[in-house]
Amino acid sequence: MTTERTSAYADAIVAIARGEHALETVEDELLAVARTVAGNEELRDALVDEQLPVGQRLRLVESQVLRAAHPATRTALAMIITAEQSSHLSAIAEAVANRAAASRGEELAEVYVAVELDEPRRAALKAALERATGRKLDVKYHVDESVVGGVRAKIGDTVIDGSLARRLTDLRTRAGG
Amino acid sequence: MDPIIVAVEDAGGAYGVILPAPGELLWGAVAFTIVFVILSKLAFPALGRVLDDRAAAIQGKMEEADAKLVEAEEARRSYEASVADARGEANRIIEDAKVTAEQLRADILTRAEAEATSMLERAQADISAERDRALQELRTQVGALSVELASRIVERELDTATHQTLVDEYIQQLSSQN
Repeated sequence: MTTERTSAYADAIVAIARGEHALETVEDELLAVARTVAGNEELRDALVDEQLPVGQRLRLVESQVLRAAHPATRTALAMIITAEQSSHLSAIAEAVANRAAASRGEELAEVYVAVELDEPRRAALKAALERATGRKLDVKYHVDESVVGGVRAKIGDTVIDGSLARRLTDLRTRAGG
Repeated sequence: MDPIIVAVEDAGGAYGVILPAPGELLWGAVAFTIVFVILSKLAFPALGRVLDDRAAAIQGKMEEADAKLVEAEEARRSYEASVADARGEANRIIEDAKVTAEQLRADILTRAEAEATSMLERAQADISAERDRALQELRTQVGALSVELASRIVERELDTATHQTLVDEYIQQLSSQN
């Protein structure tokens, strides 16, 4: 959920990325980090734990995983952690991606799949989503095992869920009812 | 010879022994009359008064006794009447008690039967509800286990080709909506 504070941080990060001419890279990397953190409870708890020293929480930024990331991405992460905004990392990353997409005349679409998709399928999926929504989309793909199989797409507030996880949940609900 | 017969014969025969001499008889009659007059004047009235008093006393005693008898009879009748009343009252109380006890017994029996029926109905309802709940829970558990098992099989059995097929189906569904 985007709030005034989230928007302000997103604007700041977009400004930094534009200054570095790396908006697309930063939005991709920031979104990937946000999805990774959201899917890792231990990492999420460590980042939002205000009892831990900030220096210790900043080790994520300096970790081997993020060493290859763009400096602007690491700067944005350091700013978010230092400002105790880690709990809003996903919202900030989405806001950055939305702004980046909007700057290209597109709308952000996040697609979650269980396995990596080959390029032809990505293109077909993007085209299908654009036809379905009638909008030009900036599609970000995330591999998420919780999807189990199929695809779950989130475009703004709209979710088009064709995942096996959703079907199994429906089945559980019906069986439990 | 017998001495007595000799004396009689000496006095002039049998008649002389039985009848006194006429002079003796005359004097005897005078003396008797004198004594009788004296007694009539002096003793007989006093004796009559004593006898009258005694008779009056006896009569009074008898009347008193009769009065006491009548009183006793009245007391006896009163007592018997009281006893009869008491017996009647006791019988009435006993009858009332019997009626009350019978009503009480009938009431208790009716209430006990009603309560037993109610308890039975509640128990049957509870048993029925518990059975339905257990069946529902069993169905839910069986359903959940089946789904869980299916989920695990699906997650394990999904290969790359199946994943790609699922993505292709998603794309086709999106396209078919337009």
